[in-house]
Amino acid sequence: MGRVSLSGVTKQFDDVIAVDHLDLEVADREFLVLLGPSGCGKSTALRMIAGLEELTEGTITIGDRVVNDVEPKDRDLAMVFQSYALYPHLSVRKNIEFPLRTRGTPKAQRTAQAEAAAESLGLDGLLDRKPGQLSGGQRQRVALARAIVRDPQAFLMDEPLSNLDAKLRVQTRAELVELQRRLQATVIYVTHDQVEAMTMGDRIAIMNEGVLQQVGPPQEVYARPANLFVARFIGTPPMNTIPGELIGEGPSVVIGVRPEHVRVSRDIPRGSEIPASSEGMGATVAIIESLGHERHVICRLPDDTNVIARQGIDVPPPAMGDTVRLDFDAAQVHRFDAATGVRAG
Amino acid sequence: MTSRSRRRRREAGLGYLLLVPAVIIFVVFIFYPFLRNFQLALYLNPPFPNLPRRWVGLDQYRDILGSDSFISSLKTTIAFAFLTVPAGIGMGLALAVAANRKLRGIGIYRTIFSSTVATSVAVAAVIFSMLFNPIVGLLPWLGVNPNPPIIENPDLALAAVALVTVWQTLGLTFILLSAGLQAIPEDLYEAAQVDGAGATVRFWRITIPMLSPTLFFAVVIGSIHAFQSFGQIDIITSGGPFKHTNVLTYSIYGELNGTNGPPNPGKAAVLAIALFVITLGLTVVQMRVLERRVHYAR
Amino acid sequence: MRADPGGSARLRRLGSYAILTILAIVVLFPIYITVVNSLLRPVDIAARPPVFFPLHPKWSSYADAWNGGHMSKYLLNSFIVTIAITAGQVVTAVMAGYAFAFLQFPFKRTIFVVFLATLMVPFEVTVVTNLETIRSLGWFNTYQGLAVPFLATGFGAFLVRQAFLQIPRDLSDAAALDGYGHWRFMTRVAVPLARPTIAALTVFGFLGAWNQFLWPLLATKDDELRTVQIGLKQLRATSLDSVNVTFAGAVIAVIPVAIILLVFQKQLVRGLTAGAVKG
Repeated sequence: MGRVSLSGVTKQFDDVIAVDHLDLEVADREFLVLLGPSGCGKSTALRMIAGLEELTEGTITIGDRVVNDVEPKDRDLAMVFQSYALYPHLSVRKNIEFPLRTRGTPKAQRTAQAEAAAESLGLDGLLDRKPGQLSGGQRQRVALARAIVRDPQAFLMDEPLSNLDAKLRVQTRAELVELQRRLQATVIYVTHDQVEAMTMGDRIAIMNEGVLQQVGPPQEVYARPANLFVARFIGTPPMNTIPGELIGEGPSVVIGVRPEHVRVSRDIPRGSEIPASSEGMGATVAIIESLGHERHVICRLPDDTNVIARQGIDVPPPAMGDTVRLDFDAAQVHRFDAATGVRAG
Repeated sequence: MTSRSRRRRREAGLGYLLLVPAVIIFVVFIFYPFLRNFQLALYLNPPFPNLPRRWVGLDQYRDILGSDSFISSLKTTIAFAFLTVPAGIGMGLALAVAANRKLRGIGIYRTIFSSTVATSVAVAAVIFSMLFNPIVGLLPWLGVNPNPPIIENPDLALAAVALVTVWQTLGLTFILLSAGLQAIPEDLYEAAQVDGAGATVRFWRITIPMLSPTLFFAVVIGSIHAFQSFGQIDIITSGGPFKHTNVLTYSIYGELNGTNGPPNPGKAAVLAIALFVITLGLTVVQMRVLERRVHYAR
Repeated sequence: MRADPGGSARLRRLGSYAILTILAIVVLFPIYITVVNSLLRPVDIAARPPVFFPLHPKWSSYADAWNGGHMSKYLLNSFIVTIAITAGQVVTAVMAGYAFAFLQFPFKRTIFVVFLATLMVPFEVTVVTNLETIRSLGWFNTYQGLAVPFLATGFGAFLVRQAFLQIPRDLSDAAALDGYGHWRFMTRVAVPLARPTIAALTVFGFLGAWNQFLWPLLATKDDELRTVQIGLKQLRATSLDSVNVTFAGAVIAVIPVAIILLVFQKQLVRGLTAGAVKG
């Protein structure tokens, strides 16, 4: 069973708490993404699951057994490192065979399994090359082949795509998801890129400063962020957050509304004040960014807060400096407590 | 002359000018002596210092290189190298691996392990010659009390001098191998751990291959040093007892210093050539045989 | 295969410390016992069981070694010769390295190979002739005789050239545009940028020159000129009855080097690894 369970997992380095009482359940065959900015503790959490880092507190369970004191080599996991960590002195074939060698798999079986793994990742012609002779994308696949050759209980991946160029990244993203489906494998995937998280994960676990912010399927995390941090982190362009004072709801509230739920209208009756509420307000157009398939209209509010609105290209654009009315889709306005950032309602 | 070629001339002139001091030193004190050495070896020096020497040509080479004393000196030198190099590198590696951990206070241990780099061959030799001394030294008290005492013991003397050499070079070897160890990326070990490799497997499959360039360098340089060792022989055993520590360098010194009869530069020259050829030959063999198994990063 | 919960890591750590401490004792012991013995009376040194800690340290052995044992003179000689050699090696290396790295002239590559070839010639082969040369120049038993043959090394030129080659092209182009001549470029840009390597070469050269043995042995005959290495050998011979003086002499011989190395450890490592580890 490829289930992984973290209970109260904490890691403290001297006086810095890198991971703060993390509770997380990863189901068998689930693709779980650990998402967060640099230093949020996601890599530390992954390393603790792998056994490369000792826990200060808490329990980690893989399958049915508690693995706190089990060495990495006995945890039956596979890991893909950000740097790939290929053995530079061994050929691709020997790299892939390495995990089988350490387990004493007989030679014939080793060769067969390694070749199968290599073939499934399109590496068949490269088996006798050394990692130094391969391109970045090829090296990444060797790292993957080495991971899948053993059929472990779960795969751990630490930002495996971050060293690839943008185009390759997009292509490999899809291949990874397909690979996971095919292998029916449990994958715990660490990244700081929310696009990767949204497109790849069955569920996303967002962390910040060692604390788990929210866990849920991508759509849920997107549509109902649990707090301001999640709200601002997920989504491109990021969610607009407007202090309550500007819309007449007082300083204890912050409202959030995604750019696609903001409509820009130049339809303003002359000379009248535009009322500010959670349904809309007035603003001045600051910058217009045209992306080809859509437009980002960046407006400035009276207190210099920016609000970004996404506009289709079939609508005529406003001009810079124009005073416009912003209409918020009432059903899509989120409310957060200004002090704690937590979602209200 | 165009200004361009004038500039080029000036630059070349400056280039040569900058090289002149070094070139003079090299020519006078390295190349000229090197070539002259071959010439010197062609002359037989008389037993009495004021008589002219006789040109004997290649006969002198043949006589000396075939002589028993040379053969035994050669054997002693090779034995010395075998006693020093593997032990030195093995011990240095052990220290480097032991100190390659992230423990509190590891810096103190690393400083201690490097400490012998402050000792010279002479200092180490003096210290150990006292330690080996049956009256003043501590080894007898520790139970190591062979008869005859170590320094005068034909069977043990060479090993004793080898021990001193290993100790004195430990600091340098440690620093070198440590630097090599620290250059190995940590995530290789981590990947190996997750892949199921225990500590022994990680050592032989990752540490040693990744360290191989440094190890190779240490072996080559260490061998050359072993063949050229002199100071510790001179201070501890003076080539004895009964020539059991009479390595080639010491024979050469003997011929120059007049300890085996009057100074015999001709013989010294032949021995020096022999030493040079053997050292060069060994280095070439090492490069051919060992370097193939060294893994160099791209 | 299950390790005992929680304690296994601590046990492993203790084991590491134990091994490290044993190794440290083995390595440090000769130096330790030398320092201890330098502070004991000869009769105590020979005592059984041996004395491992001087309860009443006798500092007079240091005074004896320094004065009667001539260690002060030997140290001075060593300093003079070593500083001369080191300075010579660094200056010639910088000059040669600069020429190889920044100037164009015919046969540059060949000459560089020649420089490297000097590393292949072992000392013993040159010793015979060098002695004659020194004698004929009247430099036998002088500071010049001790220092001059070593004023340049191929290794130094190699290292400095390497360091100079790392300086980005843009810098030399910008300097040329700013009207820097070679001298100014060398002293204001190249040398400061290559400082770590030059420092490494200096430490390394110092160490090599200080520790020389065969040449000072052959090239001097007066006690006046002895360097500390030969002097120590002499001290041992003249202090057979007072071994503590010899031990003190050994300590004195080590202290200057130890201080320099402690201050410049990083440079030493750099110099050592220049040939071995890529980086």
